[in-house]
Amino acid sequence: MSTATATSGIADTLRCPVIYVTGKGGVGKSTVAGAIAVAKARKGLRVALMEVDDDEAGKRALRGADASVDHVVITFESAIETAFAPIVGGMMIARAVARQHAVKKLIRGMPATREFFSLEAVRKLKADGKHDVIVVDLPASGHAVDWLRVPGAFERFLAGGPLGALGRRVHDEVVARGQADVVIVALAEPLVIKETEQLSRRFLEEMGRRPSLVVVNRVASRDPEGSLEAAERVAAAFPDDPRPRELAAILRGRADLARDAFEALRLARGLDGVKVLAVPESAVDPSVLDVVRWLDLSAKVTA
Amino acid sequence: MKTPRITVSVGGGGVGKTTSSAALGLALARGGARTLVVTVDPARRLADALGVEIGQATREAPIDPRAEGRLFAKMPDPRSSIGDFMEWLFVDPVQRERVKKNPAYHELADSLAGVHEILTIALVQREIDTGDFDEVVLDTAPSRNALAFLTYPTQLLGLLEAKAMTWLASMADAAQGSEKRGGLFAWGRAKVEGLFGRVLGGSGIRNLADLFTELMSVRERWADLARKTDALLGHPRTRYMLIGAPSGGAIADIGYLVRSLERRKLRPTAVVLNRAEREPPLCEQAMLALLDQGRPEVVAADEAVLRETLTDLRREHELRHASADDAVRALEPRLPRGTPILRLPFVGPAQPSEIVLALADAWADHPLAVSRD
Repeated sequence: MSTATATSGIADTLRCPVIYVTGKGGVGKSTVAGAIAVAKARKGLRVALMEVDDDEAGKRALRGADASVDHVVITFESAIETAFAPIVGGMMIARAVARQHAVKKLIRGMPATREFFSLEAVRKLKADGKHDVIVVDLPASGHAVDWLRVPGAFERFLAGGPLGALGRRVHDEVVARGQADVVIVALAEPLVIKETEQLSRRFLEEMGRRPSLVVVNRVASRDPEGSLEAAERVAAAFPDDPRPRELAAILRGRADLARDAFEALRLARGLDGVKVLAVPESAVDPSVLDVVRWLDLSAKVTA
Repeated sequence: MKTPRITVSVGGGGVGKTTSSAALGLALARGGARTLVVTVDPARRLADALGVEIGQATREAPIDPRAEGRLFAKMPDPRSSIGDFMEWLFVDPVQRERVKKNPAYHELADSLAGVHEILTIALVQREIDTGDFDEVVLDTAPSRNALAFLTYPTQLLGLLEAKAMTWLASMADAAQGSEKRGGLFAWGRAKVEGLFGRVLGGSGIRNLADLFTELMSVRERWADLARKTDALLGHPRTRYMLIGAPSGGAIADIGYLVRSLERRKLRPTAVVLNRAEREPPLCEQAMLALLDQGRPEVVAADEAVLRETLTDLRREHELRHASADDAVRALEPRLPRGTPILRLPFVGPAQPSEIVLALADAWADHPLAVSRD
């Protein structure tokens, strides 16, 4: 197996210059995004890990990283100002417009502007050419489809205007097939995987393609073989003592969880045309290096 | 008529926020208060656990006989909230249909952030107005920006009242060929129109202007909701419960939420830390003691595998315990002095209803879970 290291790790599973990592809150999305960035950087690539409106998650995810990754934070204001500059004719005017009280309210109240201008910031970073790979840690609220369909919607809705034209460029440069991979991070529960399946179908319907990778996180491991049966036998031997029964109930619950996780993985692997990697559960937050190791291992096993 | 006390629970995703909010509601109901738990981001599993359905209706939650007739839940479905919201906002069906035909609405409706939250707030407000409840627990979306959602009605009202809107609306008038006004005003307007026109392009701005004109016409409905929501959120009796878990992300989220409360001149009532037990469950200790006695009923093979399993379990507890202690240490400097931190236990693998019941037990008799009456 050791000879396979150069070709089948997580870094080689994703090949596009932009990688969007999406998932609900608390599923370990930022750590997975950090792990993908680190794995790419270990290959000698110049990597940026991009976050929207948050500068802590990425910093935390990159703590202890053993390869250099640029941490880029997009704030709403800066994204809007940079996007407006070429349209209104210069950064000064853009700043004045974007900071004008009424306009500020208009922009903030208008739907989808955050998504649009953040993606424009991704486009700009890519166009600057200083990075080979940009990993984007999408916010937990709003799934990737809701984000990635926005440039196309702007293009259609504002056709003929400069924002419409920008919509097209953003779509072509950092959303279109071949330019971007989408990674969904999900928990190892059958219901969650069913949601992921729906999301994957929406992707196909609305974006004409599937996510590149599903990371099934926190896969519960099995307790030692025979432990549940042993606990049940002890509980039966001491019918007056409720404690062994309680322990047996806990172990039964853990066995159910492990079975659910197995089932979730099976369901995920049944997703048409989507690669699936597993990361095991641990009692406390794993480090980014742990996650790189698990993703690499999982990629090799799957390959 | 009663005015309920509101408890807003906020926190990041994956910390068990919804479950511990339901458990708090149950503890309050057990204590005799008529309690409504409202979940902005409902999960099928929790709805099943409480015995209610996801939808606009308020239903009694028959999870525990000790709270019979006193625990209610409302879990609006985000997927149908656009339609429900339109019904709430535009009472006139003709106008509603006209708005739905506007291409701007059509393109943007799917990404209308905050609509579901506003609808939920409107629904909560309706329940408060009935005067049926002593306690309302409002479980917000699992996001560090949940507090921003709560002020959406006010933000949107501000937007509708902003000058930019007036310009947009007058542009819509102009598009329909109303009279022209001369002088400085028209000059200024033309400049701004030109600027917006450059940014948005031709056809888009007309549709958008039409949409905002429709919104302007129902401004009073916004204003009413915004006023009531502001009064509710700033009410001295309203409590803010920050829910977290021992992970770096959750702790950072709490710090962020404390700061956004401060910006609104509010402070957290308490922090609830899930999965932060101090001791391993008694049953594990008891089983170990039993094995140590060397009883003949336990065969050697069973003893060996149970010892191995108990060692694994204890290692997990130690890790979680240490991580919870770290979390408390990391939290303290981020909280206003004197903010209580309540540590709830890790409820191992169990059905969601069992977790709610176990956490309600952990809440029992805590001053935070006692209704004021």
